Amino acid sequence: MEARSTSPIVEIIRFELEKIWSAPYVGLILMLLIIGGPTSSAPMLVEGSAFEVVLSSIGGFKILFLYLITILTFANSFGRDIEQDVLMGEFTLPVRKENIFVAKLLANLSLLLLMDLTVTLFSIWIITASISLASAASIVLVDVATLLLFIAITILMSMVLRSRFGAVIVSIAVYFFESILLDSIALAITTTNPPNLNPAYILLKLVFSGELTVFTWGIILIHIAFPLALLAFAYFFFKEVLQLD
Amino acid sequence: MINPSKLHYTGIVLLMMGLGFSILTIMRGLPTYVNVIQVGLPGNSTFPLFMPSMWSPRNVRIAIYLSSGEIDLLIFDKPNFNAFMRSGDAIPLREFKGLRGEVINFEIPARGEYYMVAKNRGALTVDGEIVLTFWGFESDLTYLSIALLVLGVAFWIYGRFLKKGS
Repeated sequence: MEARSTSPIVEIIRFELEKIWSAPYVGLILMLLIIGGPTSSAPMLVEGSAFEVVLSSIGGFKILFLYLITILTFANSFGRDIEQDVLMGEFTLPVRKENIFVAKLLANLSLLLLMDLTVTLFSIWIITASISLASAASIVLVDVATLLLFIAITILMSMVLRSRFGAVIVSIAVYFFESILLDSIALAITTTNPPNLNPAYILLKLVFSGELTVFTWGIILIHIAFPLALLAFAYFFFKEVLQLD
Repeated sequence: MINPSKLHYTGIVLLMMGLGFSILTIMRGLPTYVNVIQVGLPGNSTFPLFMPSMWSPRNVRIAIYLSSGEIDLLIFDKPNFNAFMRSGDAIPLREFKGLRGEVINFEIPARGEYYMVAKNRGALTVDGEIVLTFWGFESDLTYLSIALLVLGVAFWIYGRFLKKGS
C-alpha cells in the first residue's frame, strides 16, 4: 500500500490537485454551475420530464460556464508548466512524459465530470423530485462529447503557442465561430422555423430518443472524431517533440 | 487525526456551494406562479383538475370563485391519487369541504407530485374558476442552503483554528 501511494502517477495527480484545484476555484465552479443550471430557469411547476427541461435549457449559462471552466482548467494545467518550462523537475520520482499527459488529462477531466454529475443530479432532483443516475450520466456523457473539442484545442494550443492566454483565446474564438456558423447554417436552411443546431441539443436528442439527422453525423465528426485525432496528435507532440526540463 | 488543511479546503467549498444554493433559492423563490383552472362540474360528480403535477415545497394560495353552488377540494400525493382513481378510497393530503368563494392558504410539505380533485355533491352544475398562486422560497432548498453555509463556516473556522494551533 505504501509503495502504491508514492507511485509517479499518484504524485502527478497530487501535484495537479494542489496546483489547479484550489478550494476557491472548486467552490467557484460549483457555485456557478449551481446558479447557471437548468433549475434556475425552470418553472416552479413542471409538466414534462427532466430531459425536456434540460433540452429547453440548452444554450443557457450552465453549458457556457462549463466550456469556460474547461478551457481555463486545461490551459492552466498544460499551459502553465509548458509556458514556464518546468515540468519534469517538479517530480521526485522518475516519470515518463506520456504518463504526465495522460494523468493530467484524466485527472482534470474526471474532476470536471464529477462536479458536472453532482450538479446534474441535483438539477434532476429539483425538477422531478427523484434522482435518476442514468439520465444524469447520459447528460454528462453529452457534456463530455461537446467539451472534447475545446479540451483538445486548448491542450494543443498550450503546447504549440507555449502560452496559456493564446490557448484560451483560440478556444473561445473556436466556440464563438462554431456558434455563429451553426446559427448561419440554421438560418440558411429556413428562416421561418430554423432548426436548433446546438451540438449539445443534437447529441442529447441522439442519446435520449435516438434521433439521427443529417446534422448529427457532422456534430459527431466535429465534436468527437476530430478532437480525438487532435488529442492523439497532442499526445505524440508532447511525447516526441516538446522539450521540457 | 483531522487534517486542518483538508478541513479548511472542505469549509471553503461548502461555503461557496451554500452561497450558490442561497442565490438559487432566491432566484426560484422570488417569482410567483399563478395557475387558473376553469371548472364546470355537473351535479354529483368528481373530477381531477388538470395542472402541472410537480409541485415544489412553497406556499399555495387557492382562491375559489364560483357562480353558484359549492365544491369540495381534495389534494392528493401520487400514491393516494392513484388509489383514489382506482377505488375512490384514499386519504387526501388536505381536504376542504363546502367551498363557495373562500381563499385557502397551505404549505406544500415536500417536493413531489400532487393532484387536485374537485367534488360537487350538489344536484346542480357548478361553474367558476380556481386560482392557485404558488409563492415563497422552497423550504428544502432554504434548509439545504443554511445547512451548507453553517457547515462551511464551521469547517473553515475550525480548520484555520487547527492550522494555527499546529
